[in-house]
Amino acid sequence: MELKTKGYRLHNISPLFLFIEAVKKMVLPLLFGIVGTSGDRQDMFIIGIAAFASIVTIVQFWFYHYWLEEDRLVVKEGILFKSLRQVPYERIQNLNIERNLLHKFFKVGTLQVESASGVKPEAVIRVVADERIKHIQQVIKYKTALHQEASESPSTDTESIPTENAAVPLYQMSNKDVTKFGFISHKALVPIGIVGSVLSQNDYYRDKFISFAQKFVGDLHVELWAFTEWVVYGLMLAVVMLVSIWLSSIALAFLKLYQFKISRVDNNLHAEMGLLTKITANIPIKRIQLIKIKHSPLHRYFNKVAIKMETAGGVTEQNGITMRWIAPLVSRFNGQQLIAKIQPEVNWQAIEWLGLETRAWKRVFKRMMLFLLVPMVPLVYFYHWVGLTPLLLTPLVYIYAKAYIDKAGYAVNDQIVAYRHGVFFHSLSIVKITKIQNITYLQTPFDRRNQMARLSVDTAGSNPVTQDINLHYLDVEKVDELMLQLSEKVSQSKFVW
Amino acid sequence: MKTFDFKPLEIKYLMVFRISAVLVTLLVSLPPSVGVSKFWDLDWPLRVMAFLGIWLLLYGLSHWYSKHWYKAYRYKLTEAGLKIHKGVFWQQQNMVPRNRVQHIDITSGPLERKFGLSKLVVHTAGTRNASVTLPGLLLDDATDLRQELINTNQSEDTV
Repeated sequence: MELKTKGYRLHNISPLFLFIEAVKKMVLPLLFGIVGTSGDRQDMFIIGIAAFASIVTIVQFWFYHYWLEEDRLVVKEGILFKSLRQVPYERIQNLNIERNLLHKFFKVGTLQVESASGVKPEAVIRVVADERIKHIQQVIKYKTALHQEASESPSTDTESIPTENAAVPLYQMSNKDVTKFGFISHKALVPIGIVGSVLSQNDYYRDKFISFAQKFVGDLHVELWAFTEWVVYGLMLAVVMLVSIWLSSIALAFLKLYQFKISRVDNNLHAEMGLLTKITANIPIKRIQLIKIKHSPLHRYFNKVAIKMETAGGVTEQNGITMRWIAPLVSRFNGQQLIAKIQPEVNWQAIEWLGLETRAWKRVFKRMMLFLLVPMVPLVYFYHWVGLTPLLLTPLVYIYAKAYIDKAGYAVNDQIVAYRHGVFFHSLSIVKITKIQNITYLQTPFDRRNQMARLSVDTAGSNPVTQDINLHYLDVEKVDELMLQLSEKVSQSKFVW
Repeated sequence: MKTFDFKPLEIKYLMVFRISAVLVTLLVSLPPSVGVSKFWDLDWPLRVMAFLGIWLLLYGLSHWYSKHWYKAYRYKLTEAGLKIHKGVFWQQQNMVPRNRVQHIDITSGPLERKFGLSKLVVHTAGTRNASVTLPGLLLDDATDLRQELINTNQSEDTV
């Protein structure tokens, strides 16, 4: 293909960044090499592979070119396996920029272009000078706007908010919010838990840790402890663990969400966040596929909710920069206002929630009891009567089952499908009819016994695990009717990426 | 716009299903018959008998299942789109609206080709059910269906 414009290369400083990235990739094999018990030649082998891989990564710099053509972005890369990738501007879903401290120092950044192609980002342009990034952003924005004007009816233009308003952020997080967010998220629970379990299981590290701790608190004489001492020290350890989990979770939250700000620029959402590594994301509003409002018991304690979105570019955290937040922590009322501002075309007042079948609590109850009874079998076998104690939870299970059916519900109208469920961790998902890709009806043998069925809708870039819109515990007739109704509505509405 | 009411798959596809069931059950019966032979320390003739017994049992089950599976598998084309019903125990209905079709594949394996059958795979931009498969169609029917779905789609699509 003929390229009409002059191509660009990565910034001259990029070998340094690529080297750092390669070192990062080497850390894991190196850790295996050092911490691993064998210490044989195979470790050198692993390190050798890592070193070779990193050299290849650095050399790639000289083979990386990109072009900003009239209608598309072109990226050429690869040494032996060359690839030439062309992404039309109007197909670009999200445009994310990441800058860490080193990037800031050299005034460069990483640019990630997402299309609706799936898990991997369409193009990651690693080291680009700041001015160049701005230029690329402008080019893409300008060209996309040009394309939209040409192809879209003027009705969408009336929705757009004039640019003067753009400077006012729709939502931003104060430091207090970020602290609360960190506290609620308990993000550090898993890493600290892993470290804790390694410490307690591995004799060598445990001894090291105990002798390290004894440097500060004096000799503990664990072998002489009475029961009360175990309790006191155990509680102390628990408190120390909890506090350290909270503090590190808050620290993690600050790293990620410091000065989180989301604003509307024309028909895009523009988000900024991060303390050391700063992420800037640009998401076309019409590409939002699903909006999800979540709250946990801690959220409710602070009277807040979290709002997330799904876009068609299904890049996961392992594969690149992700931006899924609309508002990490916001009061319920402000959250509703925010969503209404982002999607003003939806009539949020017209949403009428319908409940699930009340008799379905029995099914939830039975399912929960099964989870209770199966582990009880070995307990009864070994401890006889004492093994029956979990049965004391039965009233709680009953309350839970009733609450589950009570809190779950669905809503369908001409514009949206919504589903909410969850007792402790509540989530509410909304999909616009235009974003529905296909509809599935499922009836399990258990459903059939209760004359029930379930209905789920699929969207682009949706999370395959959580299955957010899955209307469950409904009478067959209702599901049949819904299926018909939705098929009709979806087939009459146009899907625009 | 062409539409039709529920149709079953080609009856020949039941044969395809059963032939592959024979082959699969032959393989699947191997580990349990080895286990049984080891456990009771059987002689060779008995081992073969055990294998045949297990195989017959498994194939019998899949033969019975295939009958009901075939009966449950139906599809229809409405003005809204393609709708497929399937499943014996877990009964499923998939609905692909015409204007959500991204692209359509027609594939056919060696066994299917032998019977002149092919499989239609309809892709949407979704994630979990991004593609919906409809096996056991005559090649001509599959091509017609593909053409019909693509044609109606084109008039509306502006992406």
